[in-house]
Amino acid sequence: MTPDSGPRAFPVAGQPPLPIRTIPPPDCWRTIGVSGDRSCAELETFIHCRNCPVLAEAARTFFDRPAPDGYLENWTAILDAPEAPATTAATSMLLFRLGREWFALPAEVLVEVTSLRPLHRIPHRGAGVLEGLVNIRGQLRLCVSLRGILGLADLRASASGGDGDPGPPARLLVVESRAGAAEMWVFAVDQVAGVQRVERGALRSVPSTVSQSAARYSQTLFDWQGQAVGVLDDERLFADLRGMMAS
Amino acid sequence: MQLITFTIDGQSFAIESRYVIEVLPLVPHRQLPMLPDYVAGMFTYRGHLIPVVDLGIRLRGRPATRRLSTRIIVVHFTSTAGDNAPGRAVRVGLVAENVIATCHAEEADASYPALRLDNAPFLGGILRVRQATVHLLDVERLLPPEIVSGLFPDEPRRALP
Repeated sequence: MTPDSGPRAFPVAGQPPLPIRTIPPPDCWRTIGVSGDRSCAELETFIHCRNCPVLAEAARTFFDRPAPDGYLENWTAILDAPEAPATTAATSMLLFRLGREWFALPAEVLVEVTSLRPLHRIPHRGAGVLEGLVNIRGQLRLCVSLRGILGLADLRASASGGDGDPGPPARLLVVESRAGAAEMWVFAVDQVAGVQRVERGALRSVPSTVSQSAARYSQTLFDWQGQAVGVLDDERLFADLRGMMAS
Repeated sequence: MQLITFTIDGQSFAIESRYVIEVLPLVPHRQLPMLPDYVAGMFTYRGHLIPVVDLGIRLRGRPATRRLSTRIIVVHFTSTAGDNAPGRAVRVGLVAENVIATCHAEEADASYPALRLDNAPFLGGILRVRQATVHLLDVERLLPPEIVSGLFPDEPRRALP
């Protein structure tokens, strides 16, 4: 494939020319639009070129070309595969990052994702797991250190050492036990990647080389954007948290 | 009523999106002998073989041009062709050009009722949407009954939900 320098007006037999071809310049978004000097008067109306019908028309001409090499062969192979059985085999997971590692929790336990907020520490409690109390919609909730539970404390120190680009914002996750005991826990994570659908077939077991404390909570992994994501066992996690708080 | 629009030989047409399962790139298909030209062939769709109809030939006698925007619209409908069975679920791929947009029939500011032509029962109404006219096609009548019953001889007889 040769890199295109921009959408081109491919001649289409027996078809009237599209309006874009009459509006100069042909790649106005690069010259007078948001990627250029922003002198286009239409920006007053559309704010950004992506809202402008000129760009929309130009985008359409992008498809007026032969299929790239290998594209149709690739699709033939995709269509050879039988239909995936309907959705019961998939589950929704909330993905988040702690240090350099990605984890997932079943979306059912998620109550909300919220911003970091002041933490009220409790003296003489927690031994590294209980971080304190946070105000979540007027209710004080127990905020715990998931890093401490998973044995990732050292990773945090090394990850926060380098300053520079702050990266995606850290968040608080509010989760609730599925058992219906109405217990809520709050913990901080370094980044949230949203809820993703995961095919059950994509889940695989954790290799035995993973450290003991992490393996206690995540028996399965799946691959997401080239990363191995550990699926946390929410029931075991909540049961242990309950135990730690009671002691 | 949502429509998926496309062009055939430069003219805009549309089908109702409720018939559409999926829109695919124009993957290679094997040709079928002894059938009308517009039955372009068969291709493997998610592990099943389904026939492909070239709307360019069906409507204008010229095959659709091979471009990235020329795509296969996989449609399904219940066929009552052939016998007096309650109807068979049928899946067909339709090849059309410029399959890149949808529109809503409610946006139409003018319309013309469906044509009644014996040789083209699939021609529906004509709508004027956003300063352009679009001709609606009846997916269920695109293929003559004898072709449908010939193409789907052993389909289990069941009605779509």
